[in-house]
Amino acid sequence: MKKKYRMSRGGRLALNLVLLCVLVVFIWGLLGFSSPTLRGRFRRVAQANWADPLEIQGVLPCDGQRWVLAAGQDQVILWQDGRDGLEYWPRDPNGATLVPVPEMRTAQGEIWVAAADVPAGTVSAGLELTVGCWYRKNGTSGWTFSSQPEQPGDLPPLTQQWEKTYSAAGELLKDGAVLFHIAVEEDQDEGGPPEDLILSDTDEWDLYWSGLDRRGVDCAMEAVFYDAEGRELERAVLATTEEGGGPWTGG
Amino acid sequence: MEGYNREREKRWLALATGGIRFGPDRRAVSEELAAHLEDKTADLQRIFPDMTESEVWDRTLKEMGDPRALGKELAKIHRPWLGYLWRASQVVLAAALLVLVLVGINVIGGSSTLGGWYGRESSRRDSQDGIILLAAEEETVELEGCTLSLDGAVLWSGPVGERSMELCLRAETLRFWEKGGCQFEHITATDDLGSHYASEYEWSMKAADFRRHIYVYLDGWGPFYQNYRVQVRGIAPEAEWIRLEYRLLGRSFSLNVDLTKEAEA
Repeated sequence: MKKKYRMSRGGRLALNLVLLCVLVVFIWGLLGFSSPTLRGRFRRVAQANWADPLEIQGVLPCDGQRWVLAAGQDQVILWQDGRDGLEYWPRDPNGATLVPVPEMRTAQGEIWVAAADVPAGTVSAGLELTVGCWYRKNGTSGWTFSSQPEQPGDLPPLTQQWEKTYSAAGELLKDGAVLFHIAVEEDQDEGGPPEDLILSDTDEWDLYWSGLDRRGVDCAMEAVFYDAEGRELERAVLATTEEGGGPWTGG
Repeated sequence: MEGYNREREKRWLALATGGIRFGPDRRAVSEELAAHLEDKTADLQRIFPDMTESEVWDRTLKEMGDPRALGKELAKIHRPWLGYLWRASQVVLAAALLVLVLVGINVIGGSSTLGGWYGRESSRRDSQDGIILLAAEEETVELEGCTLSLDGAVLWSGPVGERSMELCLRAETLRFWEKGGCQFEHITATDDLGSHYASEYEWSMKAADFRRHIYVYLDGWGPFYQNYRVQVRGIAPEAEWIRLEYRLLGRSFSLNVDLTKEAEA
């Protein structure tokens, strides 16, 4: 009688380990091959969103959240660690692009602005941001803000105007981008409108696509990049416009 | 007497296999040695029919040798760590299979078809007039390793006359690890009247006109496919077709939907 083949214990152990590896890889795949590194995770999300290859220009540490700033073709891309989707901002074809880091809801009264495609040789940078609005205090129930005094319907026009300019030095990031951080000062004008709310509006991306009649504040920012000898290399501008439609698109 | 001999056999086996620390091995070796003892006693009884049972067992155990010395040799051969590793690998393998089954249930549970949705949640559509199931389009598009197709669509009229459409966009890919990509949020549309429908990304992030817009969400997925619901809202009653378009970072595709072609009953 033919002897029944019986695999050795070592063989069975090896077979189990091989099967286990196959299963683990398959399960890991079903879970999206999540990478242990931030850059690996970003590459995976970019691939899943048909956005690769993208040039990583910086990892932005903003209020405890990490964002990756990257560029591809005509878009600057922001991605927050853990999200499935990417945020697309139009890339300025003429030089550096300023991008407000969006949705910093936990950080009322402060914003982060990133600069992509920063000129080579930049060792320092500064940003000047001017924010303004028309406003009215509605008794004890809050505030009305608008970028224009006229109000829709029968509402009376806004008569008080507020404007403030902020300055910030840029932080050069490892992959070439620059990050600016602007925050309201502790001693706000008690009689004026809530500055922290107004400043926080400037990182809402729809602000830059909205026309004068649809947005709450106006904002204009300009970044200047300097070389090691303090010479100006380039300027980048981002501002709301009367018609809206987005930055560098003629809007 | 038989009980006494069985006790002796048990004692002998316990001494011979006591050094084997891995339980399953110890039991297997014990069974094998017991079979040997049985064979040997049967042989002796056959060869020497005059021997008493006690004498047969005396001789059998004597010929099998010193159980302590045998036990030491067996303990050397049967390394416990290999047994424990093997057992551990079985447990981990079973756990991995369980996880795979749970993930698989999630995959199967997450999948559905437009027809199924249309039937399951039809109560949601009671207030919508003239709902029709459009014929499935046969057009497919290949992009980034994905085969895109429209599985079917439903069209209905809203309270102010403008229509809405919901269709099932199916993306099939061998890259089973890529799912839930948000690229379809960038789908826009145009109709034969020249109207533009803002993508979900345009109206949610960039303040695009909301009157005609698209809303997309992932509805179901399996290892090799994803089903997206694409809702197109604000379609003029006169529109006869709609073209869905995707154009971003050098990739583009378009898919047409005929609004006049109803599915056959």
